[in-house]
This record gives sequence, C-alpha cells and structure tokens, in this order.
Amino acid sequence: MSPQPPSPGPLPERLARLGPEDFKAAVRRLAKALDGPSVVHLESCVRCGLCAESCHYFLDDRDLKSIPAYKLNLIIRVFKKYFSRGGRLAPGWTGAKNFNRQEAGEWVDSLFGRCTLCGRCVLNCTMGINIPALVRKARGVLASLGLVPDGLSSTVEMARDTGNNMGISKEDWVETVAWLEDELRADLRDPGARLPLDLKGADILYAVNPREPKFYPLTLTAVGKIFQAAKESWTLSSSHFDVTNYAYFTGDDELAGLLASRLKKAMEELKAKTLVLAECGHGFSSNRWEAPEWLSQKIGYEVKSILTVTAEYIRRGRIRLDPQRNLETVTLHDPCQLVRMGGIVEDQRTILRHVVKNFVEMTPNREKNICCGGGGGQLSMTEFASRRKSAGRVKSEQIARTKAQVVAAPCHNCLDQLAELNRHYKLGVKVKSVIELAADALVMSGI
Amino acid sequence: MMPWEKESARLHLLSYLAGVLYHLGIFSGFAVLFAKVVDLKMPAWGQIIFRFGLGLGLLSGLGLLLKRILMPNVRRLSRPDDFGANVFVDVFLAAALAASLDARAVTFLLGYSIFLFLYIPAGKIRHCVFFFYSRVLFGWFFGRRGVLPPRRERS
Repeated sequence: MSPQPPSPGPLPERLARLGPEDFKAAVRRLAKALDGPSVVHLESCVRCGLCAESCHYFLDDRDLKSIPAYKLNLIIRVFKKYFSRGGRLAPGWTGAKNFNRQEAGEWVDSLFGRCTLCGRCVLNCTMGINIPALVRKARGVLASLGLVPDGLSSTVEMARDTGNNMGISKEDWVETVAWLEDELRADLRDPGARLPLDLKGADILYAVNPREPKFYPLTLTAVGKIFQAAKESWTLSSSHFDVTNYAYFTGDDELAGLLASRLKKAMEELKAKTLVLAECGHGFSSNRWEAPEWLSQKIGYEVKSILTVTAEYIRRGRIRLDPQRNLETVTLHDPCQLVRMGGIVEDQRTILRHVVKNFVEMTPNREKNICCGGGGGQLSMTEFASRRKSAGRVKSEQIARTKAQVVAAPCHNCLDQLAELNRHYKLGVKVKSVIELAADALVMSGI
Repeated sequence: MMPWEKESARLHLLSYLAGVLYHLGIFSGFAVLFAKVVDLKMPAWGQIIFRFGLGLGLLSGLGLLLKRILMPNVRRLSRPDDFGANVFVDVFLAAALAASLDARAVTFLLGYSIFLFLYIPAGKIRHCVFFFYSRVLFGWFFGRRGVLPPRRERS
C-alpha cells in the first residue's frame, strides 16, 4: 500500500468521491493493521480525560477534539463497531460507529490535523496507552483511501520517486558535497580535510537530512569538522543519503520500509559498520527503532545519532572544545521523536555543557518536554498551518520563560517550527542545531 | 513511571486519588464477596479495614461519576457504558458494604455479583484485564528505547 492517488484533487473532493466499498476496504485495512498490542490499547481507554493537558493542542485551544482520548476514541468507536461483539449488538451503549465519509473526515481533521505523534499523552495516560502508535495505524487507513493531506503526501511521493524528500538529484548532491568540501578545507585551512563520498569500508556512514544540503549546507560542514577533529573514518553515500522517512507520518508501513531499506542498502554496499544519523527526530526513531519492524528483519549494524557519536568523542577526549566560543545563554528543545520516543536524552546535554558557557534547561524537559508542534508531518500540511502555529504558543512561552538568547534543537522539523514560532511570537532568539554549536566551539589547529 | 512523576496525576490529584481508592474499594469488595461465598469468618480488624475500604471506594466512585456528569469535556468523551460501568460497580460496592454490616444483604450481594461478572466481558469494565497488559506494553516500549526509567548524566 502506498500513498494513493486513486482520486486526485483537493482532499474534500477526494473524500466526497469515496463510496461504501471504499469504506469497507478501509475497515479491512484497519483489521490488518491492528495487532495484539493495538487491541489491548484500544480496549484499555477508560475515558478519564486525565490526558487532556498533556497535549499542546489542548493546552492551546481547550477544545474537546484536542484531548488525546477523544482522538483515540475516534478509532475505538470504529473498532467497536466492526470488531467487538458489544459494539455490534449495542452500538449506542458502547459508542460504536460506522466508518463512513463523515467519520473519515473527522479522522483526517483530528488524526492528521491535531496530532504530532509526540507521545506526551502516552506518558501521562493512566493506562499507558500508546496513542500515537494507534494514530499512525489510523493514518495508514486514511492513506489507503487517498486521504493524506496534499503536502505530506507529495513529500512522501518525492522521497519514493527521487530517493530523498527534497528531490535532490545525485549530480546535485555530489556537486554540493564537493563544494562543501572546498568550504571545509578553507575553514580549517587544511587541504587534506574531506567530506568523503562512497568510501568503502569506512567505520561510519553518515546520513543527512536533505534540508541540510538544500537550505543549511553549513550544518554538513559542521559535521565534517567534528569528524575531522576526531580523526574519524567516515563516508557519505552518493546514492542513498536521506535520513528522513515521511511515510512514518502517513502510517504507510510498506512505503516506510522501502524508504528505510535504502540506507540499509547503502550500508551493505559501502560495508560500513555504523549508520550515523543527522539531527532528525523522526529519522532517528524510524531508522533506529521502526526499521527492523518495517523490514521484518534484524539490522546487522549499529544505528546511532550524531549526538551520541559527538558525546562519545567528548567523553573519550577525541575532540577539544572551548565553551567560551558560545557565550550566549542557550536553552535546549527536546525533539519528541528523538528523546521521548527515541531514548536520546542525555547526549545533547553532554555536548551543550561542553560547548556553551551558559546552558539553561526548559521546564519541563527531557522525556516530559512539550512538543514544538512541528512533528507528525505538520510542517508539510498547509491545511493545518494556523492550528500548528497556534498550538506552538505553549512551546514559545516555555522558551520565553528561560530568557535564553539561543534555542538549540537537534531536529530539522523542530528547527523549522521553532524558527517560525520565533517570528510569529516575536521571541527574539536565535535557533541553532546542537551540532552547529559544537562545531563553533571546536578547537583545531586551523580554527 | 511512578504517579508523582506523572504530570496528569499531579494536575488531577483528587481524581487520581479517587481512582486509586475506587479500585482499592473494588478489591475490598471482591475480598468480602469471596469471604461470603466460602463462609470465611473474618477477624474484627479485617472487617473494619474492608468496610473502610468499601466506604472510601464507594464515595470515590460516586465522586468520579459526578465528575463524569458535571465536567463538560469528560461528559462529552463518555458513552453510556462509561456511566453504566460506574453505576454497576458502585452498586456492587454498596452491596458488599451492606453485606459486611448485615447478613440479610448477603443474598443480594451474591445475586448481583452474578450479574456483574456476566457484564464484565461485555462492557467497559473489562479494562480491568487489559490494564495489566497495557502497562506491560508501556514498560516494554519505553524501557527498550532507554527512555524509562530515566538515566540522568551529569558531565
């Protein structure tokens, strides 16, 4: 199953064209998607409503539809109708509902438009229900109906068709790397400095977020400086370099598996030992945790975040850093997919404590941090942009309370959202990646 | 993840405590029911503890029912089954409390318990089984990813 264009055109028109047979097929798709753990979670919600304030959408609009339990119960009521005896016999009593056009429309609005899959509700759920996992499965059902919002759908299609979500051609990528290598040599005043491409047998294959070569090329030279300083054996791949996987957000596991398989292929071709992932929340979660599930096989190599690798360099004394080079007060945003759903909690802190003079935490932080609002594919879904910015108010207030001058975030979706919140709420901060700050603090012979 | 670590528990402390007491009351109810079925004589102190548990559980259950009725968002989230399950369990707690105080109420407790046990698999109350699986899955998910329990580093 891949993002459908069975009925092209704007989403409401696509929805209007769907008939009873489509919805029957969607219910069969839901049945296929629901495994044992999903059923346990669907049967566990008691609708206590204690999860409400864990969601940044609810904190912003106080709307019933923003309560995680409401979103979950959109799925539960369809599940009840088709897969539970109680729901079939007494739909009114159990709240069971048919899956039809109206219901699908509500799924799109709430499950795509009011959820970033941040997982904060899971930690705060009395029952421990994995709501984002179920939202992903429901999004997969919507994808089977061709109901993925246009921007997100086209991002996934771009990745499927061109090999990366920005549609960067292989020639452009190779040229960009060559240009950035020149920049790196000039910066380090070292003609031997390299951004190696297709180096077979390197210890590390580094995968980038395509936004880096496209819009933030200096992030790539920053990583190059760190690897150079650590005397690392590493390489980039000319064929498969995209760390992102937007099919994670559409719930299309088959396509997500295809996208994840490309980095696996590059690892095998180049015979690298460790796959190191650029600063990308969902890219980490996808490649580290979900890929083995999607590919139904164990991955025969280590998968690490660049944060973990850099923190290891610091702990082992492989790089020298001078925090005096970053004198402004810096706070850290914890990307949900990297921290709460990914387990990379302390490495970014280890780095920041060594590279900036004044580091202040947000409250709450780490796995309890509040989502910035840019995850879950929200940045690609223009339909929900105003809601996304409004819900970002919670994060902007959290940032303002720190009185920091710089907000560091190790995730490109977060960086984009934070930059937008910075403009929208006039926060007056600089938004930087953690690795950029680390590169600025590097002490090397040339710099 | 302990309750005091959870923001939702801290923000809704009263509801959270009521939920805990409600479920302790239910366990007390099962204990009283078991004692009546096997004709077990409880020591006086045991009877006092269970009556106390049942009383608090019943009050908590009624409080949670009122909350479900009075709070607009929780009311709109709820289905008839949510109200029904609460009422059915409250009646069970009241019956168990009455049976622990007066032998004439034992027959009602036994009869009502048959109804309740038949209802459990059909309605919302069956979350009592799924709760344990759900918490195991929660621990497996966050434990495997190294998120919980939190490991803090100071370096």
